[in-house]
Amino acid sequence: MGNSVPTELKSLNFSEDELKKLYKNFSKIDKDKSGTLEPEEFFDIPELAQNPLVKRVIAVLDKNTDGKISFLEFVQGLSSLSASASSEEKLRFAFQIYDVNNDGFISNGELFSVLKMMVGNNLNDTQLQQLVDRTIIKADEDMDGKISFEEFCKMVQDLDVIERLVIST
Amino acid sequence: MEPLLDPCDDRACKDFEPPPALPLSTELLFPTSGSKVPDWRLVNQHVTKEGRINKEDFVTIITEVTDLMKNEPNLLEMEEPVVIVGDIHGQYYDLCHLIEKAGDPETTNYLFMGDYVDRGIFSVECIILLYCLKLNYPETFVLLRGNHECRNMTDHFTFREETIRKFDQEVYDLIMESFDALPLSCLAGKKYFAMHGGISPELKKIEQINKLDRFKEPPLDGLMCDLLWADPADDDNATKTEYIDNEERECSFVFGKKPCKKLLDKNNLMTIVRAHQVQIEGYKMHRWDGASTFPYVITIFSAPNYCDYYSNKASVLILESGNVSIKQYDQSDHPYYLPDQVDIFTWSMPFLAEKVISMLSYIVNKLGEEDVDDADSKAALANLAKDVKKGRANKLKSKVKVFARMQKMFTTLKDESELILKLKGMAPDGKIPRGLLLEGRPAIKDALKEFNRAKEVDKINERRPKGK
Repeated sequence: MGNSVPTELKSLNFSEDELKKLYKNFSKIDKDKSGTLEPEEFFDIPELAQNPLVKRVIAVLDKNTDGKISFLEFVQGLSSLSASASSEEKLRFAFQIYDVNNDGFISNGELFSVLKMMVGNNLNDTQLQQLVDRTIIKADEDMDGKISFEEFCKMVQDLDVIERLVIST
Repeated sequence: MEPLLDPCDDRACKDFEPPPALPLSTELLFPTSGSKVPDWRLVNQHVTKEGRINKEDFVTIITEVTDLMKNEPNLLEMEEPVVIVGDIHGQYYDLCHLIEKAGDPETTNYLFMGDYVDRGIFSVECIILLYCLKLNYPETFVLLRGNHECRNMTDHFTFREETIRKFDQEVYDLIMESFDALPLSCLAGKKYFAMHGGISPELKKIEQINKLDRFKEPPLDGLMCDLLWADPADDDNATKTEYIDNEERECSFVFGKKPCKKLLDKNNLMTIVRAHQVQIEGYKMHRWDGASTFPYVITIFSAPNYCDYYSNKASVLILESGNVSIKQYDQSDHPYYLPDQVDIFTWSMPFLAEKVISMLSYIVNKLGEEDVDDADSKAALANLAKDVKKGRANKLKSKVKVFARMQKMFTTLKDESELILKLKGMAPDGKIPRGLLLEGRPAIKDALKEFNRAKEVDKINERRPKGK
């Protein structure tokens, strides 16, 4: 680690080079040099155009819901998907992709709309609705008609895809 | 029973009713106090909407049916008029349709020739409904055993897996015991000899059947095995065939005209009625004496568009006033399920992970190597430090992993998620290939060609699997 990393940043456990690299890339996206990333700046990146979950990822990164991503939010989001982040942090990230209004529950409509982003027109609305209803009935232990983080974890904890939710820097 | 709640009032398809949220209550299922006869109409409605029933209630139903059937002989007799039904294979919604079409069980005699389970994904629901009907109409609603009603087949195919997923091993074991109790054959209208598979070189007089001990896993050979497994010869070969080894099934026999005629004559019968083989029209008249003669054998198959693949019609046979008539029908709509009946999280998580990783990895690693002004990045780090100091940063404990290793994992993940999404290949029971689920089935230009192709591809699944 270089001497120029402020002491406070050592707790983030990124090396100076890694933070600089993250910042470089952050700046590349920040075309208007506002110091924050606006959604439009993500959509301008051609490689992201075909990715149906870009909006959801932006929303999850945007912790203070001010509609833009600060460098801090950027680094924090990446940290929860780092190689030694806990399973719980990764599950929480995934959960937040589905939880559109970020109220701590995945509702019937939210699950439907996020799935719709993923499948497009490959399923019609009735088919998708049947899958959503059935999944909620299966997952919903406290019978409140929506899925809490705990209920979500029970459904997916055995999937090894959680271990693969990792970004390296 | 109340449908699924919509507490956030944001359910997308408001016009489409959701399934019941809770299992059918015991009080509603068994409405008459002290009686174990279920309200089959309510069960039918509830299960059709994808409602569940309680395990204890299902156990009651299974054990009551087993006790009832134990007292039935191996060879039953039924008077006309009667509706004779072939293979169902877990196609619950088609079962409901055929019952609606052929007559209300309250006033109609039914004879089912077995194969209620496997291949289709609603096998448990079929057993629930059929057993409820049996308890309501013990004399006039008859269930025979098919070759799939045993441990070997249901374990090799999908019924055991489905029962354990929807209930548990205990329920499966009880259902297997009930299958052991299913009778083997029926004489309908005095002249129509019905069984699932076919006849046997051991069978001279049909009363012999009553001497068997049927309460067991079907044996690998012998009369009981043949009743469940045998096939009639092809029309081209029937005249020159007596009994030859059944190579397709790898057990039992193929029987031809001579032994069939002998059996029919000796027992004063008109014809053999059986199931066991899919038919493009849902039935086949095996007319071995010529085109306009009465058939030696009639095959009835009651699962339309079998396996969501064969594009066949289905039929039932109606025996009334000495006449035989056939009612045909097509597949009914059924609720949509993903392959292996996985839930939507299991299905979508790999895709979600791949898309999130792909987006963030790209941003972090691939945006190019142009230099940013060092002064800017120093300032950024200083600001970041301030934010951390203010306590806004999470506790991070990341380490760097080799990116190349990650890259390889991402590729695998990507392939797998695309596989899951595109669903290359599997019919609901994972046994035969079919078209891309998500893109819908292409229009069938030549139904017979498609049907024969399906038969060829599915041949391996008509074989008796080796026992354990």
